[in-house]
Formats: sequence, structure tokens, C-alpha cells
Amino acid sequence: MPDPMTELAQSLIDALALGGLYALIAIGVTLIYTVMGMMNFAQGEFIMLPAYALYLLAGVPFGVAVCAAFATGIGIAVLAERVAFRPVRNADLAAQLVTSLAVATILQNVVSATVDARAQSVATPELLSESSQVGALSIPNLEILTLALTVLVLGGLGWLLYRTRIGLEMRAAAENFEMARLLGVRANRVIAIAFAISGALAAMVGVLLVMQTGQVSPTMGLTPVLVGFIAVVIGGFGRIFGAVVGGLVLGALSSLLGTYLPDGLVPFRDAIVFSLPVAILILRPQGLLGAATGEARI
Amino acid sequence: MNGRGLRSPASAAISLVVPLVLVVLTAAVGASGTPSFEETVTMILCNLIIVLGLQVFIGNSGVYSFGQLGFAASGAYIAALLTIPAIFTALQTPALPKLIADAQLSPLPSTLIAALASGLLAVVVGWPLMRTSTLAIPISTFAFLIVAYNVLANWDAVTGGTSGLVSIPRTTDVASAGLWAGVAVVIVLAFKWSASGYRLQATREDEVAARSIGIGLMRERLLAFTISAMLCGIGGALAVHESGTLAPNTFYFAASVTTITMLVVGGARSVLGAVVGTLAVATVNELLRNLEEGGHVLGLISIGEVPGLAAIGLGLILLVTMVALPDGLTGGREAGEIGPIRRRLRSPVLSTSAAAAMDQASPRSARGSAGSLRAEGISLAFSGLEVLRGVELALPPGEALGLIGPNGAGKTTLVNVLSGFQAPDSGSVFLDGVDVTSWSPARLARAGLGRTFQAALPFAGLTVAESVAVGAMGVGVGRRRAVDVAANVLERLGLSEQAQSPAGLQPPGNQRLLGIARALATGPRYLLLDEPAAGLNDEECRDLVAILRGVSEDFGCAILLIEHDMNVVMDLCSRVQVLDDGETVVVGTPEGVQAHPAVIEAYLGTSYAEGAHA
Amino acid sequence: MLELRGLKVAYGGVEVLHGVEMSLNEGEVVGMVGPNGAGKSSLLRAICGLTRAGAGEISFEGRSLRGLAPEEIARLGIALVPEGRQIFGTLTVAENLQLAAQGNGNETTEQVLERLPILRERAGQRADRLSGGEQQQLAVARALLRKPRLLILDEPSLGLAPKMIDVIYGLLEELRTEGATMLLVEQNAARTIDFCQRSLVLAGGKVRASGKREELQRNPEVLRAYMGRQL
Repeated sequence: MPDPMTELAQSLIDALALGGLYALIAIGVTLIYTVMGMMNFAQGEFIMLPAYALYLLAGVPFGVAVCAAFATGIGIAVLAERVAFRPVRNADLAAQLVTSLAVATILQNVVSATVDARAQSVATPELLSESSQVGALSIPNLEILTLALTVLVLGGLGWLLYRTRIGLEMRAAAENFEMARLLGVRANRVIAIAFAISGALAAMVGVLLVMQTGQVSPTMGLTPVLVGFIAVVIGGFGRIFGAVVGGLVLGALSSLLGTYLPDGLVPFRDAIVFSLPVAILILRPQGLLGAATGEARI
Repeated sequence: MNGRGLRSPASAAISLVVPLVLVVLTAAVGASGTPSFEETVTMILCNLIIVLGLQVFIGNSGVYSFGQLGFAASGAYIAALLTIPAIFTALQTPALPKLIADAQLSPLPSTLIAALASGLLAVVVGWPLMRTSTLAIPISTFAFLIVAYNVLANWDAVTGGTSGLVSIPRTTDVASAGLWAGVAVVIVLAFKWSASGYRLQATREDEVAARSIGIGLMRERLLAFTISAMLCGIGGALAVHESGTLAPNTFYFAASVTTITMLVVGGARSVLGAVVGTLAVATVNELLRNLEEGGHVLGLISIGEVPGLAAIGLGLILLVTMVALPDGLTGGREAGEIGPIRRRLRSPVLSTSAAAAMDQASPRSARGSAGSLRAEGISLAFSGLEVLRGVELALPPGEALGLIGPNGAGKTTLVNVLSGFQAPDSGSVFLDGVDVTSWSPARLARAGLGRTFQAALPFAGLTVAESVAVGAMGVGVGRRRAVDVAANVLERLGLSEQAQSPAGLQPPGNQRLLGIARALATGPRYLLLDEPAAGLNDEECRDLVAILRGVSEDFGCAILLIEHDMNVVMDLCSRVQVLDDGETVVVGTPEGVQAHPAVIEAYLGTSYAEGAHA
Repeated sequence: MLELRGLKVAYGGVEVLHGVEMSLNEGEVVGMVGPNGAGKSSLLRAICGLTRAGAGEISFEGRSLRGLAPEEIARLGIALVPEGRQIFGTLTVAENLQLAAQGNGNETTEQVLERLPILRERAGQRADRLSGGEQQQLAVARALLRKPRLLILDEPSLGLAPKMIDVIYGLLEELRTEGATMLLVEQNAARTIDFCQRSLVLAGGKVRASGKREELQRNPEVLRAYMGRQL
């Protein structure tokens, strides 16, 4: 009988890992929101397509496949921005949202049509399906990887935003786009880079999800994008830090519910997890850490 | 139903008849083909009911809900469970309460119950959701869709889980679908032209202006959300009684995208748009399906995620529409409003019997006015910068007070505080002796405080007459009387000729007048005007002054006027209050203030002040 | 250098400029005064590409500015110090300056900090902690760091204490003696007319009066534009 302390510690690590994953999704969604004011429905597809790259490159060395996945994520994000989102950049929120919905549908169905509508299995590299012993705990390697990546991303993003020129431009644009342009900041460049980073983050999430579930399906992006949206909303629109907190909260909650919910209710875990943020929104319409809606802060 | 006076009877009739004719034609075409073609058309009509459900909420509120198909699902499941013979429910859904399991209702009652249940669900879900911000609603309704799916897919014993339900009696034929679709058209059009519909449309056009005329955002959205859910529930119920089977992903993401595409392509703002869009997209979809599979498929509501050309085509259509034709094929107009048709129709005479209308139209001004609008000790700072410092103001009934001062003095901020748009850090506002400092703009409007804005904030998508009438509707006046009020006000302001033209196309001077007219329609006792003369030429200014003087006398309301045009202030106001740097410099008669050295200095600087004295 | 012809601009659905003519030559310091609602800010926004111009022409050094993006106009050498300063509050002072200085090298930054030592002191602080006057200095510094051909200031004295206004105008005086080309927009007519070689009076969307300093100081039109009919 495992010692309850160990069990608890195990659950907490699980919770953190899932929280990290959700935080990665949330950051991807927020980045685009802060520079464009748009909630990107197609983020789920930015996650799904790199996953399919892994599937299609099954025989290829894993490292190469992962690189291909990243290239896919970045490529599709930048392409979508250029082709679909730039024309509606000055349209209202609803129009942008529906446009991203259109992009999401197209991408989902292209994959359905060209590959298969049903879920496909993907082999996970041995190392990642094993667990490592850390003291008394046995932690899945995948979780270790997720946690490590989350920390790396946060660190990398922090460096990018606070120590580079482009990061400075992005932060300025997020606060006051007009003023940034008056100082010569190129709108197109800032937005394209935000999308590229989002695409890279989405690729990361896609790869991790494939490793976790061993499957890809055309609709695998739906739940993650909802997670991303809700995390952004909980954390308070437009703040990257808030999105991270939102993601962690959602992930932790989802994981803990998965462990501790009575058996009969386990299938309804998602339903419960996605209903709770609504409660938060009612009590605090600006989210847990919110700036006023529409006020962007990185 | 014809919005008496807001549109000509002929225009209203056309707007109603054309979509109905389209529905009837569709049903007729369906009935005349092969059985499988009839089934396809029946499905299309069921889809139309759902799209009309989307239109009533999305089109009128301007807010996208991605969860309405969750209500189609709830309607479908409830109707199905009520009509499936007892033997089959026992097999598929063992845990279902006996009452429902044994029930075997005929189509009409089951559809009605489904509608009711969906409506109730909408109230429960919508109550919290409609309180969230405009941006959060699409997200939270999307969450609802996924939660609904999750519940339906996992509650095996009650819903049949992911395999869903079969053996649903196939009682929907093209005639019944057509009939229900016709009813839906009437309901949706009636709502759009009702007072509630107009109030909701006002929130779509300009949220801030809508609040200033007494409209409660949440209340209006919830009502439309509920009606929408009921219609979607009906559509869902009818659809599954055509196909005979139902699964959780019947009404899920793909169907959501399909129905939203139909609405957007047709033009979200109009009922005609919903009909045209559904028929157009359905036709294209069928063509694409035939291309990809070479055979007939049962309608559009998928029994599974059907991959392929059709769906990609749909996505592309949606994308192209958003980029190139965001208002859809109809441009958001009803049949009776489309250019060539409208030009042929005689404009309705928005007429009044002057005396009678005047009495009717100013209910509040008739009240014996005791009390005044008063502000005491108002202080407010933004990010550390003090904008108002202990400002006092008194506006007795019937008086015209000018509020002047250099840019940045705090005038608009003070008006924002008085009208509830901004809470002061300290100080109070009293309306007829009641402390109203914490009241919302809508509540203040209903209590008799109206205002205009520096930017005209027109309801660009409504006609001039509608824009003004909705002012009265905002404070609770019924539609008929609101139209009379609007007629009266428009005549006073010389805008009667423009009654039927879109407010957004009016020249700037008229848009300012329109803002004033809209505020007047709320029957205010205190009217706060923020730079009504900005951008007007000399002649327009003179007209404005005459109008405002008349307004004050005939409508009996007090006026607080922020203005930079001193001519207007001089002519209109009996008293003037000068604000500079957040403080009151002087309050006095216009002549006194104009010559006051401190005032001249505030605007122009010392040398001019001295010069003026010389 | 800058030329406006028959410029009409609409803002929020209302036409606010009804055909404005103006020209500005290199090395000139021109003022634009007028009451609020006259259209001054709309004019500047149109020049800088933030608002679309309706009818009329805007040209800078012979080149039409119509349809150019704000960042392109900025790169042509027009720097705007906007109304309300609009510094990036969540960035530090140093970052605000860094953003503006790109590519122009440390030398320029040094020069600017020489003129405005308070910014050097506050370099590491978040910009929204600065006082109004310091923020205004930061806004001007930002514009200067771009080494502009034309410097436009929109109500730089707004919301500032008199002492701070003196500091700002002192800086502008320095710039003037160095031959900078400036367009100065203010509501306080006297100081502006006094400061600039020549000025325009904008009221009701039109130029009501223009001329050299001495002429305008005697011109009753100015008083009328602000205060309505004659006393």
C-alpha cells in the first residue's frame, strides 16, 4: 500500500506537469491576444498539425521528426497570419474570432481528408514511456520533460521579452500599439513574430500530447484550445503571467480531479473543470489577476 | 408586427413574406423529388430553424455564442427520449427515469417540451454567462458546448453514451419541417422589431450609448439567448425525428461551424440573411458532397465527423466571406430594406398630432419637479493624476448651465461622474435629493437623466427613426408609444425627413442632433450635453441654439452644456461654470464670466487677459 | 518641408477639418493654437498616419504621406510627442528610450540625457512612476532620439505645473537655437504665439488667422476664436 504522503506528492507532480502543459497552451493564446486583440480558435490546429508531422514521419529518427514538427507549427502559424488574419486585422473582435474559426475548420478537415478522420496511433520513444525513480517517487519521464520544458519556455520567454529588441517592441506594442508605431516599430513584424512563437509553443504542446496519449486525431486540438482560452480568461486577459497562472490552475485542477474523483464521476471530469472558470468569471469578471478587459500587459 | 411608423406596411410585408415564400418554395421543391431528396430538404429546413435560432441572438446582439448547438442537442435528446418506444429506451438508456422512459409522445408535444427544456437550460446557463464581458461570452459558450458534449457522451445510462440513440420515430416530414421553419421566421422577425429586439440591437451598435438610454445589457442578452435556445431545441428535435438516430457529435463542433457559416454568409443581422445563407450554403454543400462521394447523403447534420471536400469548402467559404463580404449576401438587410425595393416604396409618414403627442411624449417633464441635480465635493484621480478636485455643481430644474474650461480641465470627466459612467474617488451626486453616486448609467437614464457624448456614438445600423425610438424603449416605453415619441422629437429637431435613412450615413451635424434626439426620447428632466456644437458651422450653431432653447422650454428639462463655442453658451445659458485644472474657477452669468480675467487667463494666458481689460 | 492643402479629416463619423492649408519650412518653429474641438489633434493624427485623411493633400519633403503606415511616416523623419504623453508605463525609462533610439547609437542617447539629466537618474524606474513633468520630458526625449527632421508636439504643457512648463519650453528654446524644425500645438495661445516665429489659429475646423508673432498678438481674431463675440 503506497504511503499517502508519497501518493500526495505523486499527485502534486502530476498536477504540476499537466498545469505546465496547459500553461504552455495558454501562453501561445495570450501572445497573439496581446499583440492583435484576437482570441485564436486555430491555436488548436497549430497544436494538431505538428502532432501529425510526428505521425507521418514515424520511421524517421525522433529528433528529426520533432524538428519537422516545430517547423510545421511555426510555418502554419505565420502562414495563417499572413493569409487569413492580416486582412481582418482592423475588423471587430467577432469578425476576427469567426475568421479564426474558419481557419481552424479548414485545417482540421484538410487533415481529415488527406490523412484520416479517425485517430491514429503514434509510437512513443521508449525513454519517454518509462518512469524514473526520484527518491521514493516514480515519476514518468514525460512529466519530467514537460516540467523541464515549461520552465525553459518561461525562462526563454522572459529572456526574449525583457532582454531583446524584439521583445521590447512586443511589450510596447502590447501596451500601446499606436504609440509603438509612431516610434517606428513595424506592426507586421511584431505580429508575425508573435505568431511564430505561438506556433513553436503549439508544436511543443502537440509533441507532448502525442507522447502522452499515443494518438493523433484531427479534432485533438479542440480541448486544448478551449483550455487555452479559459486559462487566459481566468488569468485576466492579456497578461502572460496571468495566463501561466490560469494554465497551472486548470491543469492542477484537472489532474487532481482525475486522481481523487469518485469513479462514477471520472468521465465528467472535463465537464467539471470547464464549468468552474465560469464561476470565477462571475465573481471577478476581470479574471483572477486581470487587468481590465482589453488592457494588454505582458 | 409592422413596427407602425418605423417602416411602411409595404416594406414590412415584403420583409416578412419573402423569407416565408422561400421556405414554402423549399418545402415544395423537397416534396416533389425522390424520397431521399425529400429527406435532404427536410434536414435543410431543420437546419434553418437552428440558424434562425442563431440569428436571433448573434444577429441582434452582435455577440457570438458558440454554444447554441448545445441547446439543439438538449432539445434533440429530450424529444427523442420522450418519443422512443418504451422497449427501446429500456435497452439503450436503462437509468432513465421511468416517467420519461415509458413516455411515447407524439411529435408536437415532444417538440414543445424540448423547446421548453432548452429554454430553461438556457436561463440557467445564460444567467451567469451573460454577466461576463462581451469578449468572454464566445469563450464561455464554447465551454458550454464542450461540457454538454462531455456530459452527453459519458452519461451512458441516460443518454446512450457515444453510440447515442437509435429507433427514434421518423415523424418529421418536409411539410412539418417547413411549417415549423415558417413559424420560426415569424418569431424571429417579430422579436427583431419588438422593443426588446431594438434594445438588444442598440447594445450591438454602441454599448456605451445603449447604457446611457437605460438599456440593461445582461437582461436583453439573456432574453434573446433563451429564445435562441428554444428555437435551436426545436430544430434539433425535428432533425432527429427525421434521421431516426442521434449521437453526441451530431450537434457538436462540425455542426456549429456549418450553422455559423450559414448565418454569416447570408448576413447575420437579418432574418432574410439566415434563410438565404442556409439555402445557399446547403446547396453548395450538397454539390460538394456529391462531387466527393458520388451519391446522396442524408442532409448536413453529420452522424459522425465526415471528412472531405465539403467541409473544407465550407471553411473556405466562411473565410472568404469574413475577409471580403463581412456583412454577408444580404448586407444585413431585410427584404423590404434592400435598396431598389426601398426606393420604390413610399416612406411612412411618421406623423403626430402635435399637442397629443407632446403630452404623451414627455411623461417625466410633466411631473412637478422638485429637487435638482447636484454634485458635491467630487474628486477623482487617474493613475495618480488629479482630474477633479472637490468640484461642486448645482443644476436646478429648467435651467441651462454652461460648463466651460480649457482642454483637460475635467469637464467630460465630471459629466461622466454625473451620468454614472465613472465613480468618483470621493464626493456625491444627488438627483432630486437621492444619493445616486453609485447608480449605473442605465438606472440614471430611467430616473430622468439623459446625456450625449463628444463623439456622436450613433446607432449606425439603425434608421434615424429607430435610433430615436429606441431611446424611449430603453427607459421602458412600449414600442407603439416610443414611435410617437420619436416622431415628436424628430419633428422638433428638424430631422423628420431623414426618418427612414440609416443613422450611420447622416452628415456629422445631423448625427450630433440625433444624439440629442435620442437622449430626449428618454424623457429626461436633466440633459447633459457634451460639446454638441463641435464641428458645426455658424449657421448650424444658430439652429442648434434655437433647438436647444425650444427643447428646454417645451420639454421642461434642465440642460448642462459643455461647450467651447462661446457663442452657443452665451445665447443659451443663464449661468456658466468655469472649470480649470479640475477646479471651479468661477460661476456666474455668461457676460460676467466672459470678461472675468481669471477665465481669459485660463484660456489664453496673461497678456490677453490684460489686453482685454485695456 | 511640410505642406497641407485642402485637408479634410473626419473623426468618429464627424468631419472635424473642413479644408486646412498650411506650410512649414525647414528650420521654422510654427505654432498652432485654437480652442478644443478646433481639430488640432485630428490634424496631427492625419499627418502622422494615425487617421485617414479625407480629401486634400499632405506632403513631406515633396513626398505624399497619404496611405502610409504610421511607422513608415515615422521613419521618414517625423516625430510626434502626442497629447497626454503616452509613454509606455510598464516599461522602464531606459526601455522607453531604448525603443526610440534603435540604430541611432549611444552618442545621441548621451546628448539627450545631457539635456534631461532627470531621466538618467530615473533610468531604471518604471515609467508610470514618473511625475507628469518627468513623463513629458521622457516623451520629448523619445522623439529627439529618433533624430527627427520634423518634431511635432501636441499640447506639451497640458496638465503640467508652471515650473515644469518652463523646463519644457526651455528645452524647446535650446532646440530652436540649434535649428530644429518644429510644429507646436497648444491650447494656451499666448505662450505659443510668443514662442513661435509664426502661428496659425485653428477654430471650428478651419484656419481663422495666421501670421507672424507681432501681428497675431494684436489680432482680435484670436480672442474672438476663443471667447466668442467681442466683449
